[in-house]
Amino acid sequence: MKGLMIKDFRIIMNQKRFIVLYLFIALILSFSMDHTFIVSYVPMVSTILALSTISYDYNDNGLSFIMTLPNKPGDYAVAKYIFSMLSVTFMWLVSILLQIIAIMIQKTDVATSEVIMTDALMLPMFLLILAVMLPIELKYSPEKARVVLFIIFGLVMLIVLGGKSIAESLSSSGIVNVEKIVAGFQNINGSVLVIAAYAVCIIVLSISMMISIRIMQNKEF
Amino acid sequence: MVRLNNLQKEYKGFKLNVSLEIPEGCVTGLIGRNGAGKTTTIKSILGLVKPTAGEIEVFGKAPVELTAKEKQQIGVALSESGFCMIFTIEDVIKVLKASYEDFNEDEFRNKCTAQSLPFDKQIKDFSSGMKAKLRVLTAMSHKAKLLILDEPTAGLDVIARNDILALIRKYLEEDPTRSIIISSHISSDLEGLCDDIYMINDGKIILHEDTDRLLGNYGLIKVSSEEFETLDKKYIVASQKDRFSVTCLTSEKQFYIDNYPKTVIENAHIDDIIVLMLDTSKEG
Repeated sequence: MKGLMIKDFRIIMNQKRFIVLYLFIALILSFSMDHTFIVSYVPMVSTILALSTISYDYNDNGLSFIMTLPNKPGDYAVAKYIFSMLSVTFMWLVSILLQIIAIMIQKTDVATSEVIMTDALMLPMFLLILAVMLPIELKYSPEKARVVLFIIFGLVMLIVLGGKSIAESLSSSGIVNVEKIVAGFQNINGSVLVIAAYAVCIIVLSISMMISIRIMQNKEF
Repeated sequence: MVRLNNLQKEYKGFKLNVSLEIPEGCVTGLIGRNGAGKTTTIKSILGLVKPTAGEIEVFGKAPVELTAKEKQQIGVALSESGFCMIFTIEDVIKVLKASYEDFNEDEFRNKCTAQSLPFDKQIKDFSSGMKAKLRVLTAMSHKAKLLILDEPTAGLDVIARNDILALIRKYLEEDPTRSIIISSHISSDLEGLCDDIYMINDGKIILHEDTDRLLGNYGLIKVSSEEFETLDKKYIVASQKDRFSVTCLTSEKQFYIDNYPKTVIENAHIDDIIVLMLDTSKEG
């Protein structure tokens, strides 16, 4: 499994031009824009980079050979999760460091508790994206996964819009007080929200990883 | 070391059904046309495709049950699959080092240098021969007991092919207990290398024979249509008719040399055997 993670690390390190550009933009953003943006930008690109390793594995039928390396079939999925989570978490920490430097240089007044909460919520958000994307990319090839993703986004939009119109009709007919429910959410304590986000993230990632292991065990190469 | 018992795999329009055995210290060749089922057989041994029915045993276990440690005893070179094309040999070394306990870095570097493989170039910029050499050297880099080589010489010029065959021979000399299964559609590659040969066509094994017996006992008999009618067909394995004559493949050429002294009998090469066997199996 160590070999699989080193393989992914070497794939990332071989995309030198992209990484240089990525870090350059990160530095410029840190000191020129709103410092909160950096904490969403850096982990986002890192998520894309981690997922790109699957495309590199698929290219030129490489996956058949990779699966002959001395690992159990599910190890490929486990290694992919560990590598992706570590690289996104590492870059999230780097982004926070850049944000702190930016705040110190710009000498801006910040609401510390608000910044901490926003930063803390960023990591589970990107880990949840990984939890959704990894099984889709492993089940289908990365190219097909893009189509599947469009379909999922379409369905999510339908559910959101449908839910909104249902909520509005329920609200206008007086059955449910939607405003009261929204206000209830807003009143939730920040730390409770962060803890809940991490708890959900751990549960979803665990389920996602189990699904991915099963996908790889049943797949033919 | 490897045993396939009635292995079956079905795809749309293709059915594989093979039984074969690779004993310890044996080099086994799998020969057949493109699409005959060589790669599916090899992928089944590696657990990359799942059989519809039948049994596969590698080191006495089903391929999916092999532990990571046991899989270290298998060296693999697949025909069109290898490390990521953006990798350099330096990257390959790092991955092999982390994957195989017995990976010998110095030896691997020396062998790559001896084959003039550049360490700083990405694999995508390698020639076909260089890519093939790297795949074979990778398979041999960790003292594997079992080498599985799928078409290691396909698409290469004669010099690159000879280089690869020399690497395989040297690997065998280092430890005679090592076993190899090698697939190819180039018979001359297998003639001088394999102890026995399985001929596969349309997903079925149509011939299994020791290479020495194949080259020593098999022969081609050329007779007219009339002579063919009176020929004792006890040892005729296959025959091919054209307008005026019949070419027969015999598994006991000495029998015909002794009993038909005036008949033209030639030594058979694997290519001749393949052509006649495949032609007969097509007619059959």
